[in-house]
Amino acid sequence: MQAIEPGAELRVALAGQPNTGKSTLFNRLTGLNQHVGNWPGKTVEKKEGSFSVNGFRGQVIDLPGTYSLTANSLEEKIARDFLINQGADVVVVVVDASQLERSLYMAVEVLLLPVKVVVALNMVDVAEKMGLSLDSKALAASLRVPVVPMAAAKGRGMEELLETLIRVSAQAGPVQERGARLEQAFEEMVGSVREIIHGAVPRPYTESWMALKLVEQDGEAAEIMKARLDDQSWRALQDLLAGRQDALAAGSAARFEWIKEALSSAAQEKERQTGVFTRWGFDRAATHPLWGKLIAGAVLILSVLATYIACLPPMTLGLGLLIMPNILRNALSGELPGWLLAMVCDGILTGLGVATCVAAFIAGVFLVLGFLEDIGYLARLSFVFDRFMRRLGLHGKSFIPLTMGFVCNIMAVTGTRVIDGWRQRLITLLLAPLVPCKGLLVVISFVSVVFFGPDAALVLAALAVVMAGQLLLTSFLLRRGLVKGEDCGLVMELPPYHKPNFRTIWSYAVSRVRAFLRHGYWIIVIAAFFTWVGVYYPDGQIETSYLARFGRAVEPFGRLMGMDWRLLMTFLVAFSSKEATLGAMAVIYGAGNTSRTAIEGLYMDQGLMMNIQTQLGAFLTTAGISQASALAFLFAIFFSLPCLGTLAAIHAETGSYKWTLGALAYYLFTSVFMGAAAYQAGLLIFR
Amino acid sequence: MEVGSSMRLDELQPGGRALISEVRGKPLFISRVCALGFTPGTEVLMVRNHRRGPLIAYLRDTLVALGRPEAAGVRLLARQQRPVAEERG
Ligand SMILES: Nc1nc2c(ncn2[C@@H]2O[C@H](COP(=O)(O)OP(=O)(O)OP(=O)(O)O)[C@@H](O)[C@H]2O)c(=O)[nH]1
Ligand SMILES: [Mg+2]
Repeated sequence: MQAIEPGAELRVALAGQPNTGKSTLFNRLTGLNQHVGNWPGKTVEKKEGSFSVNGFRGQVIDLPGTYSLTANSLEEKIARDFLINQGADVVVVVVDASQLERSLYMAVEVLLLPVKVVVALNMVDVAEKMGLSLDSKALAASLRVPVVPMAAAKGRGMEELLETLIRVSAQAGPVQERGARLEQAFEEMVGSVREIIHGAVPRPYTESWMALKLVEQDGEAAEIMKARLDDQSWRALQDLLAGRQDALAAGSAARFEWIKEALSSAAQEKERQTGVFTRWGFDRAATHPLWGKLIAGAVLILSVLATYIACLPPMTLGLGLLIMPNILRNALSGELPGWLLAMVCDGILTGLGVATCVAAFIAGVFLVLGFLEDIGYLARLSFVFDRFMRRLGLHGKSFIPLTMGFVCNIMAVTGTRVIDGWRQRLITLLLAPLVPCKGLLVVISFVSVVFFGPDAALVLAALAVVMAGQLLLTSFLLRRGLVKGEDCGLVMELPPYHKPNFRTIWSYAVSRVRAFLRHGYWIIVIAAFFTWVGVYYPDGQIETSYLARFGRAVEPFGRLMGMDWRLLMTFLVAFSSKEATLGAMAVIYGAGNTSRTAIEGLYMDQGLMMNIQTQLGAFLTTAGISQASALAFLFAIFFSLPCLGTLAAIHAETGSYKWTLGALAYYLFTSVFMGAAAYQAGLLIFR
Repeated sequence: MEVGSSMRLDELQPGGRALISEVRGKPLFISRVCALGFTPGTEVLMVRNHRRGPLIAYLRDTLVALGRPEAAGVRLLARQQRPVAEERG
């Protein structure tokens, strides 16, 4: 590796366990000069950024936070492949000084690879407060890599880190092997394996790393060597490794021994139970089966309020876009051809307005969520609701994404990234469409109040009960047979509480919003546009539009649910976006003072409720929809046609048409089935 | 391995300490649990353990939440009544 000249690019990778402060350090280094994408072909986030200090320019990559570098999870494999393939000139392993023994585990994993390493001993401020004195020089000496004490949240130690990075990257010559300390744990075993694989290890793997991983039963290492070894050597290798299922645990134990040894000279003896337990007073309540749930409930309610406040400023932008058509129509009618004005107002601006409002909401939600995560509370939510989620066949980590589904299902689907273990994640994201989003809840409460008056509460209760049943059933079907793969259940660190770092929270929210703007946003816009095309063409009359024709064509089918073409059309619009449903109804039933093809300004709930509540209510009651049909309609849209954006998110997260179309088919079926069942029930009840 | 000779982590009472003897389960589970510090020979302290629901153990400066079925995969050597003194110096 060549020395880095001023002006050259230094490639730095940040590795480390979750919650050690990688992102904080990343944000410090790069400011907002960062780009969030996905690892090629994977749905794991890839954060890259650049920095420039004193003529040195560098690229930083924030690797996924992982506890180790085995091949057992996607995140670990990504981090490990990146490091092995020399993706970086220097690897910074961030460790948490207040939880040093555990967080050094990742450092040891990286030390086993032939890469240049600098250990960032982060959170020394916390360690100091705990009365822990750490000798970074001694630690550096025993680990034989530079160790830089720092407090990323406060910017402490940044210069020294940069200097060290530049110095280390300039060192010439190959990196020394550092695994000898571990190989002793397996006695001559590693040596014997090395003999067998000698000469057959493909670059860039090293023989010692490969041998160690083979001993530790690493599936990927075995696969690589199987392809490289002749039959005889492969069989010899297998004989040697057979029956050592305990090797993985033994290897971990040996790593911790190594760490203990390194720490014995570096860390001063301390009381075992200080530190983490200083705030146990609150945690005692926050993890209590009863109090914990009450606290969680209060936190959730406050979070909803905070979300509404946080999303207010960008929301005005979206609402502004929704009001625009009114202004334009007044100003420009007669000056522009009718179709053009309609297209701009109804086809484009409304879609942009809705999507912007959703983006505003996403910003609000992730600011609040980022806050809860940053102070360390989020893991407690998963803990407290674990038992509840187990009843659905899930576990605690599914709670947060599914709860976000009440705001927007797209968010729930992408939010499942917090779940480790593909199987659990897939099940959760396929269940997400069952959670009624806020757009849908507005429709449901509005329509049920219009048609059932005081009995609306009963209708809502019925929906809730049936929803619980469907959740249970769907989850059961998914777990039994449909979804395969591995899952490690709930194994989760409860991180110590920290003061919030608003820089981290901000950049987290920004990256989530950017991700939405890249994808979901435009899907909503495009769906709205095509919906408009469907109701406007061919002749500008909704009754004879393409969508209406389609509605009439499938009307016989709709009879099952007691729905005529107008309700069916509403149903189809709900598929494009739940927020658009009431607006579409208003147009389709000819309520309001709008032109008959305008789905204008009616998209978003607030504006919508003000605009049309009274008129639409009155119209609907005289539109000849029976109570049974209304009930059918409610059940059909509640169970639970995913909107297009959600389907797109499912596709983005699973990368599979099979699951996406499977979800669509399943939910379309349950939707029609529930609608038909509700209609039949309604016919009996409302005679 | 004799069945029943060892105690499971979910059987450890709050406030109890014990040494880990082994971890059982799929590779993903073993690697996750080991990386969090549950290696054979390590002492754990049970912090929260109700009859149902997940539990919280403390080891290597870390609070770790484990689901009840997951905790059953962590086996303990034997019940130790007295807190084990630190023997590092
Ligand atoms: N007191 C203190 N807190 C810090 C320091 N560095 C980070 N934190 C806090 O530690 C918490 C975790 O930091 P993150 O940067 O989100 O950690 P991470 O490693 O990116 O975590 P994952 O993204 O989960 O892998 C946040 O609350 C930070 O504000 C520090 O030097 N001192
Ligand atoms: Mg991070």
